[in-house]
Amino acid sequence: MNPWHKRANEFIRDANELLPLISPQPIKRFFQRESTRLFDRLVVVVGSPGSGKTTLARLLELRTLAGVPDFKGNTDVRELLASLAKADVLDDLEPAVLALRLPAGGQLRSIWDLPYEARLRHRLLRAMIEAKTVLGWLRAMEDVGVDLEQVRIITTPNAEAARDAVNADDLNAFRERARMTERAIFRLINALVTPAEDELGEHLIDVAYAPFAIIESIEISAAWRGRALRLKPMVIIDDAHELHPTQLEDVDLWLRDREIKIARWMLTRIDSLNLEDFRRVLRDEETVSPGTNPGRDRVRILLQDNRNRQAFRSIAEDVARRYLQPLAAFHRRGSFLSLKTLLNTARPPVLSDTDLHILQSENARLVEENQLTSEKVEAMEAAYPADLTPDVTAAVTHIMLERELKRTPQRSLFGAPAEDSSEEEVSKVQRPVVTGAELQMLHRFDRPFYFGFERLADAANENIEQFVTLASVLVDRLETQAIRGRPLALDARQQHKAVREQAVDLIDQWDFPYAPQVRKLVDFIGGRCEELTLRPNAPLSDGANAYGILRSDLENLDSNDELARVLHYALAYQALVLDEPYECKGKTWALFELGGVAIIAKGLTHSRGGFVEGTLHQLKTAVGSAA
Amino acid sequence: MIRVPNLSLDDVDEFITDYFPTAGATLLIGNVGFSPEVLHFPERLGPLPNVDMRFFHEQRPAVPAVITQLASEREQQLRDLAACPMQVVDIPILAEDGAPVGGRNACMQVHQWLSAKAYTDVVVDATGMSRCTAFPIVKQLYQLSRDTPIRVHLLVADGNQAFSNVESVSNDRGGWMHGFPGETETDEFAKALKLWVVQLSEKAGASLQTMFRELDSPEEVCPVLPFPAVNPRRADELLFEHREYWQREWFESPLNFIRAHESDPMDVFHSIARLHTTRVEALSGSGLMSQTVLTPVGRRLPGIGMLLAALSYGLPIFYLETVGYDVHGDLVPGVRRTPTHRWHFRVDKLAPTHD
Repeated sequence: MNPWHKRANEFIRDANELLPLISPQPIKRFFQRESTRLFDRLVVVVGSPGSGKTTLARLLELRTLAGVPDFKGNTDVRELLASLAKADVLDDLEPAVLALRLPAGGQLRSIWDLPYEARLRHRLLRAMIEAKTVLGWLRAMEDVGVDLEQVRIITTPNAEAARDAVNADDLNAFRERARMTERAIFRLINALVTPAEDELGEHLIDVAYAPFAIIESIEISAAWRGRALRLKPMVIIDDAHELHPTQLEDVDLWLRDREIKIARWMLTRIDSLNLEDFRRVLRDEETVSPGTNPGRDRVRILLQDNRNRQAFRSIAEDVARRYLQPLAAFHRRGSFLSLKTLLNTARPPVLSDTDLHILQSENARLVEENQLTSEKVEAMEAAYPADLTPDVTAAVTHIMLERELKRTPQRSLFGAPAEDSSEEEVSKVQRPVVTGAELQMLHRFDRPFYFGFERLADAANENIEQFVTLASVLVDRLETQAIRGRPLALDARQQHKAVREQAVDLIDQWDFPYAPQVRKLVDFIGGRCEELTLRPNAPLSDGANAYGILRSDLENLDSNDELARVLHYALAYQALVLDEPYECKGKTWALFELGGVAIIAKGLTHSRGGFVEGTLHQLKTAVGSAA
Repeated sequence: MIRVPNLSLDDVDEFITDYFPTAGATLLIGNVGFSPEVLHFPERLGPLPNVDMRFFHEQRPAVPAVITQLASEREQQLRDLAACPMQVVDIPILAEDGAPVGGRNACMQVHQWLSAKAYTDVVVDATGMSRCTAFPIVKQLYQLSRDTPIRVHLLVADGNQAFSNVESVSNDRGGWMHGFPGETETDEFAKALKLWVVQLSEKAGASLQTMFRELDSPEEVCPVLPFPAVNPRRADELLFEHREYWQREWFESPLNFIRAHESDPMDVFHSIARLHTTRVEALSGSGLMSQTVLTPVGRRLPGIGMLLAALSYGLPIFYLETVGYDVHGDLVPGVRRTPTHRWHFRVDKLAPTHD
């Protein structure tokens, strides 16, 4: 199995293959953040595709947890297991949770389309979720070899009548009752022409089903693992954004009920939240609706932390190490391999002599125009970081001279050279200017820029799946080298070319609602950023990768406007990343930063903060929705 | 094997000319599409006094103005053809939250039309109609024909010179087509071994990936390749384009490929029928449950073959809804001529054979 090609962990069915691939750091961080509140109230986990929501759910499934004892001595998995034990998911390496991942789309969403009163539709949805969950729990136990004869359903005290209603005393009858509910609702949803509400009759008896209100835990006797286990039942509603917004609201309200004893999570993409709500989650704010206290009854967790790039680099390094391990071609090389080392051994590229000469002669002309002495230029260059190659030095000098030219007032033909001090400027030559110079060389001379592990990790938007997708093309090439018995190395140009082609392909393959408009938006923002980045005096040093509009302007965006929908999908699929509030020049901005893949395709910097100023109206015009 | 009475090419036009003028009250259900082929059958049926023409106007959120305009022109042309008053009804394909609702809406509408007047014949002209509306209503009529003496005709025309610069934009969530649900969603069939028969199509990589994931990695995948085809290399080109999926993610070998005629729905139908019946037979011996899931993607005619197989064997259909279109360049309608492919199927006459 090559995990680089599987991309998403959900394709990996076998727990023995899955566990060693999961990097412990994000899991540890997740469980640490809300450690005491994850299993006693509603938890809503928000993240874009590939941010690890489903991996989290897979990790908690019984088939994964049941495989844990096999990894007792495995150092790669030890840290992960420690996090799970600390969160009470494991009890002495045995499962303590019985979780079912229930995808919310399709059938559950279709209930909303039935021509019935909203209350009845909500009732049907709740019953369907409960029936499917109960059936899923039973299946999960059977799948890991539990004999249902050894299972006991523990219900809340004083709930005998409700216990009888769901047949909790006899597991076969318990399953049959749930199946009856599932079948009845399945038939209703799938009738080509739905029966009218007054024709439902006995259907409604079948769907009166509410086991969540009474089930507390599930006990498996010692016959399975040598000691009796008490499991916390759990439902994980995956892709909750696929429910109708009104359904989602109702499920949210229902699962916030503190009387429910089972653990319940909802995993959702930002699609479920409108732009306003999403922005609130980003700002870690919560709204309070009358009669509830969401802060107390519900925990919302944003899975991706776009603000911690350094932490993600180390996660990416760990993921890469884990994903390289199963590859036989690398194994045969014997030694310990790190993708970071393999990529970072590439020497920086150098411009051809012809191109370097062009740059240098332009610099000579600028020196003349600025009326600078060669000593002054040398002093300026002496203040650059020490590790620059001659071509980068020339490109940085080019920028500095252009800046000088812009700063110096128009000279009179006969006037004396103006006395200006570049002392102040000299001390300012820092990394961003160097990056800006490299980017300008990328566009002018096709000098490779996107190479090395750090730039690859930064392009992933802190999203493991995106990192794996981008890195897979490099791993493929390295694997080919390994199979051919060649040195395991890719030079800067090979890396750059592969990653850029992959980025362009990925954008080309976008296939989601409003994808053509999102492409237009990315082209527009990319074009504006490129123009700013390539200005000869590099006013923002390494340039821009974002489009900033005033927050007050964004507030005017109607959620029914086409642009709002386009932005919604652009953010959901990380074509853009929203950064707000962003304070700059005494104003509050909302920055639409290009996603990492788009940044590579457009040849821009990964550094954050540089933006082009614009308006909402310009964005509307760009996607063709301006009135 | 189930027999599907069918006619093709000139036989279809001949049948229409011979049969419908003397038939009873006939309902023609079509869709106001933008391709010129949508006019072919209404031109023959519309002028007849016993034919009521009813059209869907499928509403999608992201449709360029140029396509909407073309559809309006078609609507006017259709109105000019009708002898009896014609009706056009808007059918929203997506709910406001992006969920596919076209099939359900279409079925409700057909139910209303059938309740309003008694018909002896119903013709579904699937030429300009999306799968999400055509398939459910054909199934609805097929079920109706089991209980009543109604005759159900399915007509479809297709040309080789379709607009090549119009690309459809897919939804990002897959789903069971209305009326063709997957029983694997229910507990009793949760352990059935899934065989996914999917039509390969150009630029459909992301959709294929989404569906494979949402189907929870089917145990076996049989891609349907267009061969014979107008472009004989098309099957190879598709295999090359999607190599990443079938080789690395589905782990399929060339032994699993189904090659079926690009524009012959019956070839697709027979291939699926053979595959399905053999598999059920093979697995039932060992007590395993099997579920064949069909997915039409791309061109229309092979999809019709899938519809016939789904009707005949009660198979589920999993698909991604088209949410809009992307037009590159101008839409220049070519010269109108008789569509290259014309098919007629008697849906109410699907019957088992003993060969």
